[in-house]
Amino acid sequence: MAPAVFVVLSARGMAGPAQKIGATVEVTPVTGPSTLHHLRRTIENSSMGWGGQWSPPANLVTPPRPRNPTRSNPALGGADLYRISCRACHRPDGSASPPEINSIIGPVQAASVSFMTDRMKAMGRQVDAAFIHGLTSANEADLRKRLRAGGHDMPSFDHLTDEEIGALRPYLDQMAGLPGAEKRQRYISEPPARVGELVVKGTCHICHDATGPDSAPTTVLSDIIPPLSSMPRQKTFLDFVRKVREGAPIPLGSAGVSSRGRMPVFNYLTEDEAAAAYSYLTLYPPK
Amino acid sequence: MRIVIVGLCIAAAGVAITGATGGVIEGSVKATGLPSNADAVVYLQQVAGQFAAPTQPANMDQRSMSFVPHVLPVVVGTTVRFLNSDPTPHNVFSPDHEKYNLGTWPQGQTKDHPFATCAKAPCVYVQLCRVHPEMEGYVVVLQNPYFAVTSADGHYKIENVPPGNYSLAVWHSKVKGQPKAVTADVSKPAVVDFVLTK
Repeated sequence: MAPAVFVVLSARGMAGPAQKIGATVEVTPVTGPSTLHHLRRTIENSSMGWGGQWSPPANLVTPPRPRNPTRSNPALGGADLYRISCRACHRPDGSASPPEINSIIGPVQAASVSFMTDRMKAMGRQVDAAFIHGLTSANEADLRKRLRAGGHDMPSFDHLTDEEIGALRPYLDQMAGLPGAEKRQRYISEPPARVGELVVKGTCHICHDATGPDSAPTTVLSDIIPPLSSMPRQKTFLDFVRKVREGAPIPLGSAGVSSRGRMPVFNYLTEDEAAAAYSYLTLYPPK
Repeated sequence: MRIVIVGLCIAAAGVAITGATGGVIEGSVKATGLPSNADAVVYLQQVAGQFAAPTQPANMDQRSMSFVPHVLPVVVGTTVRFLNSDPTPHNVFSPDHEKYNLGTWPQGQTKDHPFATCAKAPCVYVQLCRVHPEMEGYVVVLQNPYFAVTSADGHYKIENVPPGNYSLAVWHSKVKGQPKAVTADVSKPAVVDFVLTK
């Protein structure tokens, strides 16, 4: 059982004060094979995890910043939760990559009473409010069940708390263009350990197994994707952050030879989020 | 004698064309302004008698994000079996008539829905999927089993029609046309063409 404290590491690698994790958030290590490994797919034949970009110019990297950030307890909105938990597969606008990965937009719109009422009216159908309510509430239940339990190729996101889903859900409405969704956006305060956990489980674990043998630098040229457990041992804090956000080349051992490998660049993650992921992997070793 | 033999051959050919027990009604439907003439339902509005629904369900698939077939005419009392062939969960609901929502189910599974009543045929039920608003299909419930769906070129053919005089109607989801009188005769096919407009 991981200790219920978290040493905050800033982007500069400095240790901050120990911090209690909120009682409602239990940070747990990432476990098991990656989503791709579980599905027996390779990164080349899947759209999963490709929310990152391939080699964007480093000088153009302008990551979003969390609203009202503090070093100890960043405030996350639904947009941030979507970015670190969903975007890697579902793209920035939720359109995803059908048929492998389904769009979020349709299911979200179908859970809206106003949207479904308008849809029926546009089709020339007069339907009563009870029928619309039955449809939309069933779709809301399906949506939340899919988030919790996963389904088909989608992994379970059962690690999300009710509070996190409560912040994420109105952002999905906003992304789906539902009227008034902007006014319903919520922000929650999350400990950095939790932010790191969400980044790792929602983004890194798509391609990286939790555990496995440490890889040699030359394995970047092979099909082997290094396990998450090797990151704190094989990368410095700064190397990890640079690799995640800028796609820093990896030295292959011989003079002057390096490779970018196959990993997309997650320039949409903030420096603090990448740092939180590294710290999380350090303090909660993958199992 | 030779003339009689030829006459018998023609008669036999006529039976082969129209079927032993009824006549054939065929023709074409032009859906003006649409890229295809497919998916118009041509049907007899009223035929005397009661018609038993088939014992086996009619099938409508959800495949490649479409209802297949797009239009499914059935005689009243028929059960339709909805299959999901897609890797994503699908739902089926209809806001028409008694309205129903069959829920959501995964690939390879089916749900049945009986179309038990139809006060005034055709009873058209649009088939929708909650989660995929682009999907749309139709179940058209009719009083009798004498119907056909047009192919892309607009052709249709209704066989084994009891001899008699009828009103032949056509339904299409986007364009309309007026019914036409038709006489079913075992000796020769009746040819009826429609031009549908918005």
